[in-house]
Amino acid sequence: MSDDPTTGVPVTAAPAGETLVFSDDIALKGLIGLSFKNLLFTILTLGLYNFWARTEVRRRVWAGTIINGEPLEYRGRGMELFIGFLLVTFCLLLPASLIIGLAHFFLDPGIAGSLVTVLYLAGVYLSCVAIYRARAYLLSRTSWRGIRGHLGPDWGWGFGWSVIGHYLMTAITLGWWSPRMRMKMAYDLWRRTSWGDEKFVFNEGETDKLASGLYGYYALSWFGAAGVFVVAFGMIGALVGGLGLIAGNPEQMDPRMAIAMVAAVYGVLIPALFIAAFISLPYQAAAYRRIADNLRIDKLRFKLDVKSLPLFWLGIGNLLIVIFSLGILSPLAQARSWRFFVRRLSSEGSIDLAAIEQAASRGPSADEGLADAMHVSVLDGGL
Amino acid sequence: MSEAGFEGSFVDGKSPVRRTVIVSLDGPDLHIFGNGADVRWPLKKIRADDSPGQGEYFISVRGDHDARLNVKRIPVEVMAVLAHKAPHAFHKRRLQRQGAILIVGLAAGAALLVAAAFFGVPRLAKPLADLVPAAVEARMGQGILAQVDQTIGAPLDNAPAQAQLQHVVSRIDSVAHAGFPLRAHLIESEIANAFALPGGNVIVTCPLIQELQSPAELQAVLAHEIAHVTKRHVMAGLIRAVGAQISLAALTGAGGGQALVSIANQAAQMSYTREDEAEADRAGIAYLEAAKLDASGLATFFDRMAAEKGKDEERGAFMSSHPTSKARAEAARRRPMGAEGQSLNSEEWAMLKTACAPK
Repeated sequence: MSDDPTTGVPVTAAPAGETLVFSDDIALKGLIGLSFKNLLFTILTLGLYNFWARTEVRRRVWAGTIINGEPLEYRGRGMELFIGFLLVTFCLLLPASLIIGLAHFFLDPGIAGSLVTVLYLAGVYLSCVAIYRARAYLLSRTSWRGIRGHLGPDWGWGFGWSVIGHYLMTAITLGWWSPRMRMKMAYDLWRRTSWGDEKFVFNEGETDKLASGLYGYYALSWFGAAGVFVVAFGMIGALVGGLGLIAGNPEQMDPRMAIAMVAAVYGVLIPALFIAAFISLPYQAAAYRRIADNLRIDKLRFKLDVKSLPLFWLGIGNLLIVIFSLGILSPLAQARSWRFFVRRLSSEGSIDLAAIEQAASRGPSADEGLADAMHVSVLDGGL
Repeated sequence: MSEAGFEGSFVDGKSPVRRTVIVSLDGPDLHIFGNGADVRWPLKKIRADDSPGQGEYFISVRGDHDARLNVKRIPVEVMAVLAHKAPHAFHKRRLQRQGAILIVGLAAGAALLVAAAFFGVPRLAKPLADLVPAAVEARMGQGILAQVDQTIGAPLDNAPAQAQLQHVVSRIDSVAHAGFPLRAHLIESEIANAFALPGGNVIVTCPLIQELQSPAELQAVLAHEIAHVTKRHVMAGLIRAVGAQISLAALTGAGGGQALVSIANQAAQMSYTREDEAEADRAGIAYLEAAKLDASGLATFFDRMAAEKGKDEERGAFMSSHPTSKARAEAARRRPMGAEGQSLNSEEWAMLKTACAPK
């Protein structure tokens, strides 16, 4: 390292290529205090503060995410989310509900009914578009070393159709399309994602083969869940049937007996859901690993060391946090999930940082409002 | 004039190359230089974010979205100047005040929306309802009538009985001047009820006919419902429901608002205010008197309802927007009774009762 002759400041020349090391410094304790502060302000403002609350949580989680010793920066503002929300409410949702209301007054019931169906389908489509737009917003507000992430904003409409197509295929195939859907969506999103002007590359075009390695894991989770639910419904049938025999005439049933029946149904169904979710963990973990394996930027490749059991404990911990805090500490659960992935993310190869430039576009201004109004989580779009 | 500099780390927002730089105060600017960097940021425009847990300032400038200056330690004497000259970045109390203004502003906005929903809209509903042209209201009424068919019950398939009911309504209509033709509809349903829809459609369900004990009670109930139509209470109720929804929409989805909205909706949904009910009672009796019909039915009907519902309703009176049945019966009794006229004779009344008898 030499000195700059004009200032005497040590020159930090950028190396030609860097590998990236991910680490975290997320202060979970600080998030607890923040959660209660947010709750207080949210109550005081009858909910309006929640856009600023979410922004503050993100700012802290991003700031605790360290790449090569430097934190990510979250630049989103609460006001942006608020404006997006207002736009969607007053330009989309209210007109739609007014149209529905007026249609019932002024139109033939048949026509009014089909109009409502059309508007409902439009809502489903827009919520798929919203997944994409929310991701674009979030990336554009994330920067590292002053360079922002970027997701081409022009493809949101196409993405919406593609998601609807995938969901239909998944329904038709009783779920067996979903590994393909997962890989295809990751492919569609990541190949449009860039950091500055450097595009991410997802598997260089072999998407069709991508899902094949996942089907073993998927079969395990599909047949496992099917088995669990067959047993569960058998048990529920036997329990409810047996209780019904004891109770006799359903019209004069002892209310305690009715409560016992409901308890029997939930007592079987909730553990069954847990077991089914547990059986699906190897598939979930494999899908995460596969997406990371197929991702690259410049000459940098990624590895995500996610395994079933840690994923299980993460889920259990988050569930307990959310349940016992009545949802107040859900930012803590989100931060734990984020940290889980950051800690397991590594990279190989190198990226030539000096060759990267800021992308021209500043990204969408208030698009997450659309996602907010549709209650779509930003993380629904896959990894 | 440049003061002593301190070290920082700078990215220019164009490329991800971080440079170690010297930062100094230079008049109205912050001067950042060294390693190829040489920029001046007006102190008035700089922002600072002491990132949580990092013990480091992230400084940016308004007008340049991406450039960042990270500073680990700012000398005390520099900080004193910055607090004064860069108020948006380093004036702690000012920043706290901005946060407080946001919370107070949002809370005031939320309070305003709630006030609009619960106080403003109900007061505006009546004048707005009066502005809706009768033809528009009549058209809306047809649409709602089609839904009544599907949700509450189908019209009773008995033309003479329908005609009897229409006869009573027409007689009151001749003195009420609703602005659109009033139509009576006798409906098969599980629940005893009578109500008016926008556009002058008056609905009576068969179980209600069963509960009524005389033609005088029937004409009193109908006169009351017709008064809701002519006084535009129905339209006002609709406007209240929609208005409350619009003014609270900004709170839904924003989190805590949903509960509030459902309360407001229940309160506003096609319901009448206490004043509306009292006015409909008064106007109903006036119509009956003008049509030379017996108005005593209102008192006997509400007397019986008060006896059936008993104490529960008395207790709820303060919560509900409706006067209690007992209070309404008393008010009705205080009014001078009309002529002894009945809209239906005993044979016609018996026929209507039979038509509505459960099969």
